[in-house]
Amino acid sequence: MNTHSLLSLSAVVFLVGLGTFLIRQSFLGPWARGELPSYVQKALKLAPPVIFAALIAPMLFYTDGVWQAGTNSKKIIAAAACFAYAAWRGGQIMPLLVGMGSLHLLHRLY
Amino acid sequence: MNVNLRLRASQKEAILDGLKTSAMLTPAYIAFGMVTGISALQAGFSPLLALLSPAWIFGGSSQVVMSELIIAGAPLWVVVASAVLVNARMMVYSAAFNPLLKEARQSTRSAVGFFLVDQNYANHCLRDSEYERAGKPNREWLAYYLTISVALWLTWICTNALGIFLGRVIPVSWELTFSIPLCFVAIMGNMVRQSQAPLGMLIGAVLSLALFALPLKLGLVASVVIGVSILMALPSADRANT
Repeated sequence: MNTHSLLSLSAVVFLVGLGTFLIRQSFLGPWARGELPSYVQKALKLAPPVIFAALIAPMLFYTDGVWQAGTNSKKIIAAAACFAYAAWRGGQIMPLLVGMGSLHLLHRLY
Repeated sequence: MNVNLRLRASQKEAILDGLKTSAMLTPAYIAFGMVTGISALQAGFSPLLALLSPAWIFGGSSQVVMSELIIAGAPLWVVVASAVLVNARMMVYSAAFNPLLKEARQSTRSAVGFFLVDQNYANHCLRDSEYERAGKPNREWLAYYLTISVALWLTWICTNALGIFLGRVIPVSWELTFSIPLCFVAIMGNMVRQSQAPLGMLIGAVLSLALFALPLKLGLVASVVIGVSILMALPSADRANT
């Protein structure tokens, strides 16, 4: 590793940033002024829960690319507590504290 | 002309709301930014490049993927392709803001686009209807959104700098990195009463776990595309549209 020159590493950062920039501008650039087709609007309404679940599930069940549901059980339980509290009472700060608190409590218990 | 510079009370409220949201996200940013900064140095970045990277890319997962793949000795085109594909989900965020900014100036639209990340999109999803219900014009929404965005962007650069210049200043035993998924878990808990949301979460979670090992970090994008397609194909998808 580390055989790359600073120039090629800079090129990687530039290209990743450029690609990300274009993705971010994809529907906000001057070329995207028209009305979105209705099926796209429908898909956009349905997307958030799918995206967030797909973002976080691997963080909870995998560690360094390896399936670790057993080792991560405390985190999974703590995340469930955070979810349940948010579903019950709403808000964001309290559910976050409930989740972090649960994890530290579980660390003390076993 | 100068009238535009004076903020109305409702805009001030929106800015305060945005600052509160940003403050709440700060612990997760410290944890993630620190790790990201450290990983950039491990990949052979100079401190300056490691600092420019969060400012230009502004995407934690893709920055970490980039460092990990460089360390693993992957070809550079694979590094670029994988890191960009991790951010492909932001196309959905871009599209989600499109209808809101239909009448906006191009500079505003581009600025909103530049700062798009998971966190401001997620908080937008929660507050969108709030701002709509209140019958507020887009000015308040924009004040809220840009406040979170600029605050998070600066926080992201600073927390990366923390890792670059100071290393692991926060002990692992604090489990601060766990607050990263928790922020999204809390938002999902708030969404659970929306029709189809629980099903969407289940489908998204199962797909992302099953497709995790796909090459070029395609798992996330594939999960979103397949998951939303499944939801759209279900007859009850029409109800969610109203």
